[in-house]
Amino acid sequence: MYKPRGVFMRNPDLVPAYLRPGMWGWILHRVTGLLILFYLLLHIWVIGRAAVSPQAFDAIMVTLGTPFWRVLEVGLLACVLYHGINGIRIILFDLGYGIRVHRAWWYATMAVVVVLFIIGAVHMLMPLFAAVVSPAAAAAGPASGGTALVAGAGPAAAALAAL
Amino acid sequence: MQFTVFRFDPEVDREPRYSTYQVPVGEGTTLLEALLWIVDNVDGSLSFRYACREAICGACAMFVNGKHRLACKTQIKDLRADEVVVHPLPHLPIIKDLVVDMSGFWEKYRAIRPYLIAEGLGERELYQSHADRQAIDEMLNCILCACCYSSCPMVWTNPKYLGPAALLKAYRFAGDTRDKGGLERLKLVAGEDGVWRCHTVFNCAEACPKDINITWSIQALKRKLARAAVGLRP
Amino acid sequence: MRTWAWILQRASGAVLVFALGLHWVVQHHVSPGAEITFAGVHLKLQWLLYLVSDVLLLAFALFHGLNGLRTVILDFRVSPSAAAVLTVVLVLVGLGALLYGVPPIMAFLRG
Repeated sequence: MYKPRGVFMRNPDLVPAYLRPGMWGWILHRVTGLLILFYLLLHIWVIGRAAVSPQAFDAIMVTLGTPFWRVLEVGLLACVLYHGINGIRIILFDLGYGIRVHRAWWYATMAVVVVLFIIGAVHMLMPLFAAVVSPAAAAAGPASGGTALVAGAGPAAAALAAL
Repeated sequence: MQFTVFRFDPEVDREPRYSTYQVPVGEGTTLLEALLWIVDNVDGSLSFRYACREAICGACAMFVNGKHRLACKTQIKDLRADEVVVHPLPHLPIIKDLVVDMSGFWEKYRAIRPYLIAEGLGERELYQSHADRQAIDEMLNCILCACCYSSCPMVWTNPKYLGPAALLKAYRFAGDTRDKGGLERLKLVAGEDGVWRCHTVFNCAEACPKDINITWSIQALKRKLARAAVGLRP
Repeated sequence: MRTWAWILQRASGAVLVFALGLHWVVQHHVSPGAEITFAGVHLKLQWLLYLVSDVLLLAFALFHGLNGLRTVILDFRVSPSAAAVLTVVLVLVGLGALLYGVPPIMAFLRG
């Protein structure tokens, strides 16, 4: 008897058969899930270490504000968006919806993820680009944006507080 | 047409090898006919399983040109390829050439008690409405060829997992109004090696040569178990 | 028990999607202290909704993540006794992370 451990790896012919929407959905869900868990544990550890004093926390936040960490953060956004929206797809399958049209649902999921990711990534990276193009504008940008947000927050905050 | 066929002879080979054959194919020639032509005219040592020649026995499942297929219902012309590459079902132990060891598959099939559990069997007819019978039509189409079983990544990594075919058949009975197995039957698929290993990868549904959406049945079993767990009628 | 692990994985996932949405809305659109500084976070956490969504996220994300990790590991050949040990280890990791994660939130709360 031959136990074909290597057959799958040795024959490229065998690979494409499995790389269909459902398989991609599953592999990506696994990978993003494990990455998010890794981030979560790291996050708890870093914040735990940082929260000892306001100075320590603010120093770490300055480090995390550098472009390198910002770009990693965009990666996190991609993972969370995919895992969350694909999670909704999985829950719908578990409730019995869409199983017969699973390929279409996978493409729909990816479309939503990509659109939300582009919007989110642009928002997250905009300050970085602005800083590169014109440092002055970047410095002015968040301040004015902040006021607008606070001004707009009044009614919404009141509504939420009422809840 | 060139045929490249996976070969492994346990008495001679330590590693698998490939043999190539030139086979005359015409309109309507099936893969099974081509393989039989090789045995008759070129190489009598080539081994493979087949029986019914009409896609109802499930013996001739193999992996051909990147897809799980039944040799008997695959026409060479439909492959639209210059070469036919024939592998045994992937990820199963190989006895010889295209003949795989199905003992694990049958063991798991037996584990789900693949027969009607009901009182008065053989004494009287068990009536069933047309609609109730139609609800399990799809599951009854399964011919236990193991295409789904060999395509499931959970079967690859966890040899104890019951696998798609056994679970499909579990629903074939759990969803049959004549069956009185009830919770007892559901418990057979509720463990760590049962339905919860399924992560809706859909490889089984993609692989099935009878176009059965196996995942649908596994999901239906999960819903029955979840309803039972929270105290609802399964 | 396996059935409940599955049900709770779905339920906690749904809660997380909802809590993350809430977190995002509060973070970017309604909360004061838009900058991430110690003082800013202190200000935010005064907000009950934010505090609740933060603790919810922590607890549910830990459960969902570690339960998911358990599923991933059990997808490989694992003996029942090893699976039992794994469950205990993951529960301890989860409780440990929760105990490590809540005090910082309280530190922010005190200011």
